[in-house]
Amino acid sequence: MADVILELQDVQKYYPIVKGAFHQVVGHVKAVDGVSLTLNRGETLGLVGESGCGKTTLGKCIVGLHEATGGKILYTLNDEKRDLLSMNKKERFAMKRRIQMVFQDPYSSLNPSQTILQAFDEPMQIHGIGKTRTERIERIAQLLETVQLPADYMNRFPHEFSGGQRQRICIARAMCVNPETLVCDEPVSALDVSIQAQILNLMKDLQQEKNLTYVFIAHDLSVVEFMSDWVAVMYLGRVVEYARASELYRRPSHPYTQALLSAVPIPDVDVKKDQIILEGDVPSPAHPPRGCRFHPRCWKCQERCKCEDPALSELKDAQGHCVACFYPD
Amino acid sequence: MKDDIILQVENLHTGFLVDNVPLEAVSGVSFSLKAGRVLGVVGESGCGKSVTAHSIMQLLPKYGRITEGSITYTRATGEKIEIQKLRRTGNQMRQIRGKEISMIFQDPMSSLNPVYPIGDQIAENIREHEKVTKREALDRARKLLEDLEIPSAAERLGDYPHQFSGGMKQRVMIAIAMACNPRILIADEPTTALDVTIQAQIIALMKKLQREHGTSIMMITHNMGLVAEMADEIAVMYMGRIVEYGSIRQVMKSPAHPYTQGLLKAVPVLGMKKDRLYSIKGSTPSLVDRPAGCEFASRCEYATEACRQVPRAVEVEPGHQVRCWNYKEATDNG
Repeated sequence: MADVILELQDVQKYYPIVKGAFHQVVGHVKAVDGVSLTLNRGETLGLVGESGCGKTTLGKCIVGLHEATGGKILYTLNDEKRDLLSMNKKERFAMKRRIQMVFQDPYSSLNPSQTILQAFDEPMQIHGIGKTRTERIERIAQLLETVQLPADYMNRFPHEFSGGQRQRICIARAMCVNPETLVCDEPVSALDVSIQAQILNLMKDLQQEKNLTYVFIAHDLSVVEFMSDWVAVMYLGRVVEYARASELYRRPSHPYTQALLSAVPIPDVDVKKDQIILEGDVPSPAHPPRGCRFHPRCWKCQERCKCEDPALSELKDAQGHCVACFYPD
Repeated sequence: MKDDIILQVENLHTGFLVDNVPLEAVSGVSFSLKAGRVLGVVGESGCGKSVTAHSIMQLLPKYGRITEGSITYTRATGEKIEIQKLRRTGNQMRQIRGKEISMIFQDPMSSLNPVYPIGDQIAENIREHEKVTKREALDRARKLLEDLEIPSAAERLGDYPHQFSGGMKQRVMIAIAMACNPRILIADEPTTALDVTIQAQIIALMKKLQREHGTSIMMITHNMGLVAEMADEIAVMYMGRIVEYGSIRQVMKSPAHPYTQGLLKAVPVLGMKKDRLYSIKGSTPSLVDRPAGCEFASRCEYATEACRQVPRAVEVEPGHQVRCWNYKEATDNG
């Protein structure tokens, strides 16, 4: 039986739009609007979508950097499902040790005035890992070696490292409190192609070694395919398609997923495919379209799509393949 | 029929003075761009691809210099102009830049002036090069935006860049670049800052413009997939040198340089899931301590004694050149 570690139930994150001298709330930006997903221990969930679709916000809600405004985030703690949103402050804080995050830009996510040692030492002290300083230094040395960096780099400052090395350091830093789940927000999109492959391989190795669970956020569909067991495609704060990675890439059913997949250029001169070119841009999440949120850009749009909002529902005979569309293929 | 060469770059060296030490960002690049063709220039950050483009446009920063080599541009009249000999701000260079050779920059967010309406920014380029009234120029700007499929173009001429989305701004950039019907368009990572569906829109537009106007395009990118889709020829750059050059089919189907092979193997390809990715070991050395001999040797699987010497360009097959001593071993195993 699958061992569920994280379960999202109808998670929402609304940002109020305030206006005037009295900061009246005149509306909401619905960055994440009712997302339900489950994630098994040791597996990777890929979150894909274009900028502004809410994938990073959702990631930050899971880690606790943003407080979700609705729904439940259930996390399995000692075989008991606990809702992160209803925990008290102390419990919620302790959860940060279990769920860590790797950020997109390795240049701005390391403090330039701290050595690597200082940057690693602080979270370890806070979460009480390693009783003495020597113990902690030993652990940092080990961590650096697991990400294939020499241990004596711990006394250096971030500016002495290249982008790829910094991202390794960021991964090691996230690992230093021994987390179970890592939320990785576009961990390779700022890196060069040859470095990207090194980091992706490293992340896969780490996952196997430590039985880590990943939430892997990226806009690059081929990278997500490489990393993930399950993939959720997001559009304007909603999940529009959710399936096993192999299934999703073989049989994309939502028109948006089909368009996304067809838009990825393939490095092969003989592959000529029919590209679906979407018109227009993603609408603003402050004023999402009525009905299906994708209908203004959809080529299969019918009358029904303009007024009714399709729910995410499972396709027939497709283990767990869910689509939010009235007319899936 | 022989293709007309419209731009010929010969042994180009471009250097920068950093703390009074000259650093060579481009060292000996030669290629030619044929009329109506698309040349893809591929490489990772710091390989000199953008510096090459800026050298052609004479847009290098103050401390950048073309130290050697030539850039020959052939005008429609057949007149040949050596761009590196022109004064940067001289009349002739200003006539060419923006009119005959124009450029799309990487980041549309920061390449437009935030305090002028976009109509004015497009019209400015037209009025710089042609004697037209402001009204005529704005009218042409509107037509350009319509060609680029911007909805209600006439009303949007008065809008400012912040009122546009990323994809729209890149269309405006293309409109400025295409305003005077250039013969050469240099596109420096035109879609890197954009989402995939928007990227597909922009690439489709560029293809359309290229078909309609017969523009020659030099497309700079790090995305092998984009090159495969757009380009006729490809030049792969590493540390300021072209390591492999050939038709897109030759290079993609039978890459001869270990670096090109590595680049192609290192990207995950949609629909071909692997358990592990091939990765090129190490990282690009700094230009400050450029290795002697072949720059790629320290990261190369096929490195031998011979690699201590800088390799010469060898022809693998007609039109397909590679700069590697051991390309035969690399092709057999790669």
